Amino acid sequence: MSSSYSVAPLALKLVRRFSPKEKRLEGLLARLKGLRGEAHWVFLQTHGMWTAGTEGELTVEIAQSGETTLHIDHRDYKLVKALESVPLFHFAVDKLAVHKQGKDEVSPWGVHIRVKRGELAQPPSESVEVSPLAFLAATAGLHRLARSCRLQAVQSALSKEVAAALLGASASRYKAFLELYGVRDGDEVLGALAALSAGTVKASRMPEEALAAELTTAREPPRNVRAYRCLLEHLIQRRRPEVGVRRVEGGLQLYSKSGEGSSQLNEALQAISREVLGRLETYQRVLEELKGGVRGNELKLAVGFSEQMGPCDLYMIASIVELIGLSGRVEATYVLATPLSYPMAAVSSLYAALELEALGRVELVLASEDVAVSKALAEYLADRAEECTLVYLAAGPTPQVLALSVELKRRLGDRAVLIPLAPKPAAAT
Amino acid sequence: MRKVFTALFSFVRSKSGSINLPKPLYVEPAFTLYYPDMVYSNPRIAEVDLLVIFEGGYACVELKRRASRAAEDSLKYFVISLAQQPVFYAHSGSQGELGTVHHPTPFLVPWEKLRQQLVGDESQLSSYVESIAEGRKELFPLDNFLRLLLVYGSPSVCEALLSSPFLSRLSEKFQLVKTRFSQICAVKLIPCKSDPPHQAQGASGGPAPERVEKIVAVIPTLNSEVYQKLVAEAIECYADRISAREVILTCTRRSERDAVGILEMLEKSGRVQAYKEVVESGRGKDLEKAWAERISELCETSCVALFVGEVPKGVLTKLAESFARGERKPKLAVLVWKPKLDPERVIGCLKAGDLTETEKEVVLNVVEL
Repeated sequence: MSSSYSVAPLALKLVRRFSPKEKRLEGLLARLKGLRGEAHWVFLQTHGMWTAGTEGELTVEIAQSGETTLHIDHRDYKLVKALESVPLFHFAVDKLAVHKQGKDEVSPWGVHIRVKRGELAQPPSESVEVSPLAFLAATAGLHRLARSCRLQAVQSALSKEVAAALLGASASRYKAFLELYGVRDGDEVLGALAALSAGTVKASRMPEEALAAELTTAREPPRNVRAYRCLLEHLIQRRRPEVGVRRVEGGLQLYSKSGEGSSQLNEALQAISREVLGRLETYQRVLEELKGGVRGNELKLAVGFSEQMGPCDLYMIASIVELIGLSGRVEATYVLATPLSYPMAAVSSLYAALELEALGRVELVLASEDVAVSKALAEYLADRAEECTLVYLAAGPTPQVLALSVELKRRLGDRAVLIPLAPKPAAAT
Repeated sequence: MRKVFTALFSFVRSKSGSINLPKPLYVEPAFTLYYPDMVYSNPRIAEVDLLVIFEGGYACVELKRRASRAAEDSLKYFVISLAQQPVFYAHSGSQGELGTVHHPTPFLVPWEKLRQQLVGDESQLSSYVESIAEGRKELFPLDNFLRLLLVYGSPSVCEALLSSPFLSRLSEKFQLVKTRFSQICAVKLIPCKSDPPHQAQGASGGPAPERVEKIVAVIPTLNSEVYQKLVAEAIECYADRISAREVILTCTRRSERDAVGILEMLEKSGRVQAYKEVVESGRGKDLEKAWAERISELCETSCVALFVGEVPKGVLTKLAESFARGERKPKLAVLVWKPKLDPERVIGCLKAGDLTETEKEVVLNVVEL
């Protein structure tokens, strides 16, 4: 491998394909279903406010330093600048590179400003195609939600591996999220891991206390920056990680399936395993509790969707439902979003509605942490659970979880089954 | 289709500096937007002194005591190319100082003339501001999200969200949500199911607080001294309101540091008698179960269980189950952020043409379930 190749940035191209199988959907999910892949990225970047498409292709380059450069077509300049300027939106790359080929092609804004900023560039010679989620992970900023997006992208890319390791070898027959866009497993894993590592390396340059205050208890600052740096270097140099997930004592572990450079890579992967996959061990508890005590022929699920959750979580729930033979009994699943988790919940619900048949009819419910709204939500769910069992997978803000748990129990009694989405704590002996 | 919005841009500016705008549907002073993370921090995204809502669009008005400040502030909007925020400025000072400004001047009009045109009947505006402030006490995060949709949302996203069954139900239940729905429908030119209410009703006030003697606070890890201070202040405030004199801070070994921080602050002010209790997993019991059981034991009849921050979900579900079994069921309360908005002050500032100090902060407040 030449030295120039080893330092060339890794280029991730946003997939534009999205042609899901026919299925009748309503509301926002119907709207999202009709849009191409890059519009899903705009939706996620704008905190679910816009669904604009782009004129040209989008590619993001990730350098070994963690620095990111977004390559855009000159016709999309205004859109990208607008994404950058609104504080609510998540977009934040280090550099912008604009492509304008051909003398005669007219730019909507002229090229003068781009020449002035040195933004005109050649497109990358080679790239790998990734889903809107992995692309979002590479192009989002360094705030708390962006870190959650990066972890969700890795979890989603490895969802089949995680389900197999946690629940059993042939855990699920369902397509993973990336397959919805026709993206290859290896490319998505490469892109998502590189985005996570680059984001962590960049965040490590920020003052530790400021970062800790931003991330809070729900998401702690990364502790293994050296491992992430090593992983990023490896990904950029080798380009083809074959990463697997196995279950070991103490939880889930990432490992390298390939022999090449595996000891260094394995060390880095093991060091970040807990941070990347630890939360998903909660599904072992969900499996046990669902197996244990759900009565009634007809079930409805209400999934509290916290800002740490993504498509992988719905994949895991569908896999569990199928594994324990409940798939025919789940009539509907309500994905309970808050204003913070709403864009990811919407894209994840779209995926679930299209692919995860075990979850029945999927409805995105946009609520909030207000106590009054949570009580109204409990009433709404109880109305829909007449003569059936409602399983509430509890996650999200404390006021919502508390109000929903108390109200659902009060209204439905034993027909409300409460399962916290948190790993099972060990009992003292 | 966007004829009124177009009319807004083709408004006429007379020689005296006044403008002729189409009649607005709503005028909302002190319009603040926050990032939708309502758990720990509330960074403000935007502050607009006056949001003027028309059919087909909205305009943002900034009020300035000094005309020269408008030119500096207007520079920050130059980068927002697609966000559709035409901003113009009203000043209550003299026009003469503009000669000393070194930047390009924005569109600047005397506030007195604009006030007559936009505000008109002040009592109507006053009751609107009061009803919004009242509604936001109950529905702050949701209202903030609907405001974000109003300003940033594309019409197609708004239309798809507003037609969802649960949000429709909320608009029937809460007047504030109904008002926001009709504003969004008007701005985005979406057919609205409900009649546009011109003045919202205030949210219904809750029952008078019952007397309780003890607060059992559930303290998870907070990792922030600032948050500890805010929690301590909120507990004191709540204790005053319900005349409670005793506070027990329950925590685990992991969150003990945070409980100690809050305890020290409560002891320092001396308004309540406070102590902490560390819960540990007992024989055959996991920590979730042990904590839930201890909260239940501590909560007697004249007691309130107050949940702070991100309490482990297992503790919450176990408590809900134990209450449903008919074991002790104390009054429950949570800490949530609420905006600090004084409607009278807003109206007073509006008359003076300076809204810089109106909704500057949000505070942690206790809300009972």
